[in-house]
Amino acid sequence: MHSCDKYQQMISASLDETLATDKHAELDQHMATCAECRAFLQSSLNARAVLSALPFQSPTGAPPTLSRQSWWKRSVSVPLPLAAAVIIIMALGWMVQFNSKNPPDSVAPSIQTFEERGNEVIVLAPGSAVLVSSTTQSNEKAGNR
Amino acid sequence: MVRLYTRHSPAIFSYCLYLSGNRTQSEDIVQEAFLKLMATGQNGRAVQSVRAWLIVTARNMVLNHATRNREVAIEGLSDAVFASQSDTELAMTVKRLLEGLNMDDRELFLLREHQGFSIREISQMLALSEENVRVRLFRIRKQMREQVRR
Repeated sequence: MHSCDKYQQMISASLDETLATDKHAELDQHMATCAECRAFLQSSLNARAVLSALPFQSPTGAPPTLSRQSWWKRSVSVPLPLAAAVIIIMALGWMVQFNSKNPPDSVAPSIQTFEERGNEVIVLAPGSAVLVSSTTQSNEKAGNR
Repeated sequence: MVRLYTRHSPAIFSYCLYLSGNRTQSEDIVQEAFLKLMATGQNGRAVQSVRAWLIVTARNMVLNHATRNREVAIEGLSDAVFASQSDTELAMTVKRLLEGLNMDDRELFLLREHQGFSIREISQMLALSEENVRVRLFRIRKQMREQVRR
């Protein structure tokens, strides 16, 4: 009986396609002489036949739809380029709106540099653009008259 | 999703039905399992084996129901399905075997003999060693032999 236990394990492994190839001959040899192991194999095969013949029954319900899910649990897929375009447009719109609400404090550029060249005083704005060139020379001319 | 549902729902539903013996619950579980698959947002593309994934998901739900409602776990399987087989006596013997198994062994046997999963697949699905699966299947087959002997 103990040896049959070993062979029945081998039968079970054979049914599960996990029995080592070199064990098959030994198992066949035992099966030829052991009625109990043949009965074990037969009952296992019978169970398999019944269970594999059980029908795959279909559920009566329709395929589920996402509408059954709460809206906050649904996943939304948006193409990446579209999402990027929307974000950029929103950012630009915000910037335009922000600028229109907050105009620059003064149109006059800040004066950074005074430079005297002879009788001239040159006022330089940022970027070295000459804004005003007031001269003492013109005043002197006026005084001479 | 409709294609996946058409293809896999009979296998998942039957698995739940033969495991729990409860048709209404099995219908609900199939719906929930497919909703969970949809919630992955991949419609099954990211799931390597959709059927195995659905089976494991459905299995967990069946076990949850069984834990909450003990009567579900011991509810009988439908006689009609077994009685429709050509060898009715043999089919009813197998039915008695299934009913006599605990939930863990019943699902193992169904996965192997009804669903046709390999030992390796079952071990991965149930997070068991292959040796464990092999030994348990052997014991179930011995029970089947005893059932026939009675």
